[in-house]
Amino acid sequence: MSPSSPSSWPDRPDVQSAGTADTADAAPGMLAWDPFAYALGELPPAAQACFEERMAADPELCEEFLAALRLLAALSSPETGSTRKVAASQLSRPHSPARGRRLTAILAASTALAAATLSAFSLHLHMVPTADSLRDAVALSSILQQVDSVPELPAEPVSDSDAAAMPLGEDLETPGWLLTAVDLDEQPSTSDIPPSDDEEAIF
Amino acid sequence: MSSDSGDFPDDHRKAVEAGCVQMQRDLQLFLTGILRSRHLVEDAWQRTVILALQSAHSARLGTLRGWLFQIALNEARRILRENRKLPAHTDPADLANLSAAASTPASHSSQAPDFRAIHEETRSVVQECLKSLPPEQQEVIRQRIYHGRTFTEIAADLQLPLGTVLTWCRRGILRLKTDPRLKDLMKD
Repeated sequence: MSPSSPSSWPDRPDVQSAGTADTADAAPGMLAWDPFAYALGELPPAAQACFEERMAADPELCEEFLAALRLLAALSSPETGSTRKVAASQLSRPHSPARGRRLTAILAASTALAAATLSAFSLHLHMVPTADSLRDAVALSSILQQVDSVPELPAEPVSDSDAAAMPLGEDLETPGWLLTAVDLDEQPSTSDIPPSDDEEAIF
Repeated sequence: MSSDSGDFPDDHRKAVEAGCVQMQRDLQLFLTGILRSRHLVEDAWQRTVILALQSAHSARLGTLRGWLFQIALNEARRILRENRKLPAHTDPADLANLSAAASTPASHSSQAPDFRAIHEETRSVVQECLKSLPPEQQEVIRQRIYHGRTFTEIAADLQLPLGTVLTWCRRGILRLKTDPRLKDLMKD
């Protein structure tokens, strides 16, 4: 069992400033981590010697170290180790593709509903069914079908910090149906086309 | 009644003896955390007791526990200097074995508290607290501390940056440390 490189530890108190959002990241938290880091062999040799010097001068730190060892001993017991293994898919990853797809679906649904609201409002203004309103209705219908058909992705735990860190526009791809709806909307009006017989069926 | 040298009361020696008995498990765990080897811990423990008894005249009974920690630490560091080749970090199995050994009847007198019962209660609470952590923190703690895997291995396995894995472990352990359910148990 070889240890990870102590120099790879990124959160040493002397190299990280305090004041981050998570209280565990604050300087006192980092000092509280020292006994654990020492016990786990994650401190560089110089820091190990420094920690031993501090313990020699501070019996309270010895007690802290003892408490850390107790906790680690309890965590290393077979009962604790046999705790249900967490599936890798359950881990909240900083940039999960699945979460990106979910966000995309949510954003697309929001956009579609906004477009549908505007279309419906436009229909009410015209009062008289036209070819434009028919196309809007067809587009609205297809949009709603697409929204309904978005598969429900398995729920993932999303921490506040993760959600805040994720750029909302990342991995966004405009769906084809949305482009089609926009194209239809931008076509010139042909109000001389009589309404279709299926219009009532649509509504 | 005085000691051989006659310059300190015999109750100092008795108090130090009693302190060594009462603190045996704590001091051995403390030594294990520093020396990372049960073989060396046995040696350090014997040296600590001998030196403590020899120096009992200088003990301040009000701070006896801290005084014994200082002696144990000094002896452990002396052994560290004598044994340059040591495991790089504590083997979790050593900690668990020591805890288990402390729970056997031979390791404490009938007047001592039931270490097994306390230990099992602690483990039960630790399990409950562990389950309250986010899944990723549970997993990293389990992999690092129970399975003894390195952070590098865990990061590679989970396909995550090393810093992320380290942070998850640190946050999880510090949350456990400050969990009110565990705080009192860990002081006992």
